[in-house]
Amino acid sequence: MQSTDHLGGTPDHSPDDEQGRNLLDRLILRIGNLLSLLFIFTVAISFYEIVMRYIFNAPTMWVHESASFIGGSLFVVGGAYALANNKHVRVVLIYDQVSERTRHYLNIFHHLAGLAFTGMLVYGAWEITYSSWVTPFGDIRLETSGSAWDPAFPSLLKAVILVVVCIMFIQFLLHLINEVSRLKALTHRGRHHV
Amino acid sequence: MFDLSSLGIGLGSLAMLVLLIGLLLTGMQLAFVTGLVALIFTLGWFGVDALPLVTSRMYSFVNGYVFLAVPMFVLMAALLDRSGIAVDLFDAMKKAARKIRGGVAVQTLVVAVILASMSGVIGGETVLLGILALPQMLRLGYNRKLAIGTTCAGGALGTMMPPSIVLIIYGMTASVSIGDLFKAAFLPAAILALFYVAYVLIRCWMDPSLAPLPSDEMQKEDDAKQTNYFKALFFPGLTVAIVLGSIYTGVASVTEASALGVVGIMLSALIRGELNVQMLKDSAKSTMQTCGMIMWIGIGASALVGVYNLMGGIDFVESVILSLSNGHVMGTVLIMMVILLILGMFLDWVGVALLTMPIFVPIIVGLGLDPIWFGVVFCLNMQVSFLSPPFGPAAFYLKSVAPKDISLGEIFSALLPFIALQIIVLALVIAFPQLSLWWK
Amino acid sequence: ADFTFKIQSSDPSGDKNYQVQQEWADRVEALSGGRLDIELLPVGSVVKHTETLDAIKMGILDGHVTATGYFSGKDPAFGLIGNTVGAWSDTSQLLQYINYGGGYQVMTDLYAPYGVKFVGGSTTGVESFVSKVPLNGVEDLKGLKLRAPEGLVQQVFAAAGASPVNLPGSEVFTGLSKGVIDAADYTVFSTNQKAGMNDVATHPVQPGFHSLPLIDISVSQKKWDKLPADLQEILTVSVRDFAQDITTQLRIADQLAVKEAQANPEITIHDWSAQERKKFRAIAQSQWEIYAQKSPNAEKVYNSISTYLKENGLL
Ligand code: NA
Ligand code: NA
Repeated sequence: MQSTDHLGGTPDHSPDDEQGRNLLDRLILRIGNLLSLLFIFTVAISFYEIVMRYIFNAPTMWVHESASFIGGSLFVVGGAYALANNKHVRVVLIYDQVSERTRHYLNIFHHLAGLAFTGMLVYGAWEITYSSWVTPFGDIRLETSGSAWDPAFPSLLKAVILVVVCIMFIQFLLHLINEVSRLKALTHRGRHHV
Repeated sequence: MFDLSSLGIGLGSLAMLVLLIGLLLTGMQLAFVTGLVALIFTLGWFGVDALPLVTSRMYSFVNGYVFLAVPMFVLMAALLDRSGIAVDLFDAMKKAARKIRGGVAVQTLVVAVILASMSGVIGGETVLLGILALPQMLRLGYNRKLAIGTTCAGGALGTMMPPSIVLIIYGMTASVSIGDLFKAAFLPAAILALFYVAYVLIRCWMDPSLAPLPSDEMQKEDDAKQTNYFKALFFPGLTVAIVLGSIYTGVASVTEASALGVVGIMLSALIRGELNVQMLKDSAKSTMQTCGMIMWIGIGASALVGVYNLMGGIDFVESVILSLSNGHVMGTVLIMMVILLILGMFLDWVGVALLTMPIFVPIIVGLGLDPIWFGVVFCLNMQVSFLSPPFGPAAFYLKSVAPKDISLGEIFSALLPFIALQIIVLALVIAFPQLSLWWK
Repeated sequence: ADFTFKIQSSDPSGDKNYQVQQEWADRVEALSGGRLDIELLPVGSVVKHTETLDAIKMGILDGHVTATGYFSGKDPAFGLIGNTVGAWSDTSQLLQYINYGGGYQVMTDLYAPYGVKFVGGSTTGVESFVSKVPLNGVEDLKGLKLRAPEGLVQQVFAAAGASPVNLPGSEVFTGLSKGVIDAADYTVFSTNQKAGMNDVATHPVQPGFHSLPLIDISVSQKKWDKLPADLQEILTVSVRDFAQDITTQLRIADQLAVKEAQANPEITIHDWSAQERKKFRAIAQSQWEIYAQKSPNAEKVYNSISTYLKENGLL
């Protein structure tokens, strides 16, 4: 057995992983590709800021905060994106040496751990989002940055985090179901061969 | 539910370390390991109510303006890769490099130093070199490990050579002059780069097979190709001038200068007739990919640091250091170095800086040592952390753009000699503080 | 200790401010005979400085020592009371308002809904204004590219004709040295001098004219309620002493740093005339009313401060 892409997950499934292994993953990749164009937009507005500041001596008050918000949101989305095509970094010292069956078991453990991880994140993200959207008096007021421009980016970024960790929870769930069925198929195949 | 806090901070620290390493070895994604351990300890130590601590740190981490420089440099490198600029540049340099054994590796380091004096982060730079230099050396049949190590260690110089985000964060945390830190870091950075060059030349001199000179055929092929030197050197030169110029003449902050770099590359590609929508789309896509991977590792580490601080890790580490060294000056420094090197194996530099500097700097100042010198020493330690496994950001950055058949394991083993060189320079700066403070 | 409070500061541990805060924490332990232990944590060590209010509410932290203005995004009222630009000429005026002029009740009411108990207020001192170009009056602010933190400050500078830029603290030094900005609202003179700000921006205005931040020490209401009355009293009194301690210590440090800067031929300290200061205060005061309309709480803060100023003949 050859193991190739250590950055990605299981070598035997890597072609699927590239495209996403289910509908949700593929959807995330498509949306992620679309959103990634915002990186170029960020470059454009940062350039605009420099031009305005140096040529027209009129710095904007919105570029800096907008760029931080867009960048921050994309970093968060990138987590679901890299989960969809299985590109999160692993230490593969042992992972690559074990049998295919053991690797399935390891993957099941990773997906379960991922469910615990994102499950707790959903709770935490809900708490910080709620307190940035609802005042202690119960009114809806989006937390702002407090600058002279005062956009609602802090509360929006917290909401982005909440949405993304919810999506990642579902991703892990679907991956778990998929992994279990693969293990079953492997066991089935094994029984016929032996 | 088992109350972890009954372990006490000593056993708690140990349990955290064991859990961390255990999970890492199962092959679980690094970003999720640190994040999960952070959540487990938050839950077990402080209870359910404290869980938002982790998401709050996640929010703060991704919201940092300075990190915007990372996608900018990644985007710049991705665009560079898809234009013919990089290939032309290296082709043009080929004639000068082919006379020397290991010439391309030396050239890579020269380019790395130039890039390092433009950028203050390591990500974009490592990626850039991984795209520019590594394939070139592999094509010439260079020893793979030498080629990989040169690329990665060279890329990491980005935060050693001023300007440097590591020094800026250190300066903010330790409340010392960032300008002084920049001055102090320059010579040690140059020494480190020279050590790399010397290492490459000596190894190639001892074993010429490590770096084959291009065959006559290849040389003829090159000569026949008729490089357009103006085209090859003008556009990269223009881009370098834009980025360098914007930082040093003061047109822009580091983040903005990186945006200017992207615009520079786009303009060059446009003039060369290479710019198209597909190229922009592909570059943006790969930026999303790389950033998602890197930033989530940062998120996990940052969360872990926050929880550990709340557990009382700060006081614990301080008391351990002082009791181990018995107040002996050099002993204290050495213990700190060991702690930094070990933490650097598992955490990102932001985490290490936030975790240790609040404890270390007051001790250093109390011992009568210079915090500027210590900033340089810290920065050198972080050079090691970029390369040391299992969490070596420079290796991950390189991996994200290296040919598929280069494994993370191969990258890390290629980095070992370069880590040794870094530790030698670190020892030199500790033994001879004048190397960083000569200008005072 | 019977009670342990984990309190996060908004200062890095290397700062003078942090050291004085640490001395306060140690003093509380001594005063309480070891029954109350305050574990001080540096800025960002648990949560970001703008998130401590939420963190106390959720039970992550037990308290904070921070600039109240950092919570402007939650309620503009915090921005107005956190740095009432143009209201106070020196530290004693602000402390008098907080401790004896109605400020204590205002802060208590503002924090109560978050489950946070305001223990007491302090300040750092009149901040110096960091500048690369000579500034001798309000007129010189026109078109000046400067960095200012969130809150009322930015709005006041904009009204004075300057161009406020939003730059994080970590980019101020490079921003100044590279000319991204001409000037910055940063912190007190001694800290600026130590950080080398005056070496890259050699025309500091000292004493400054623009900023006197409210620093508050607050704790979780739940944990406060569990304290016996004597410990509550010890905590309250110790914070009142802390305010005197930190403002005095910073004033001494500032005086020394000013001497050091005066001896440096590269640095020129500018001191605005009473008339110019008055002009700037007038501009600032014109912004209070506008800012006060941003929330009902901001309105309350505005009424409280302007009543106090009028009664004491400070307007
Ligand atoms: Na650099
Ligand atoms: Na490392």
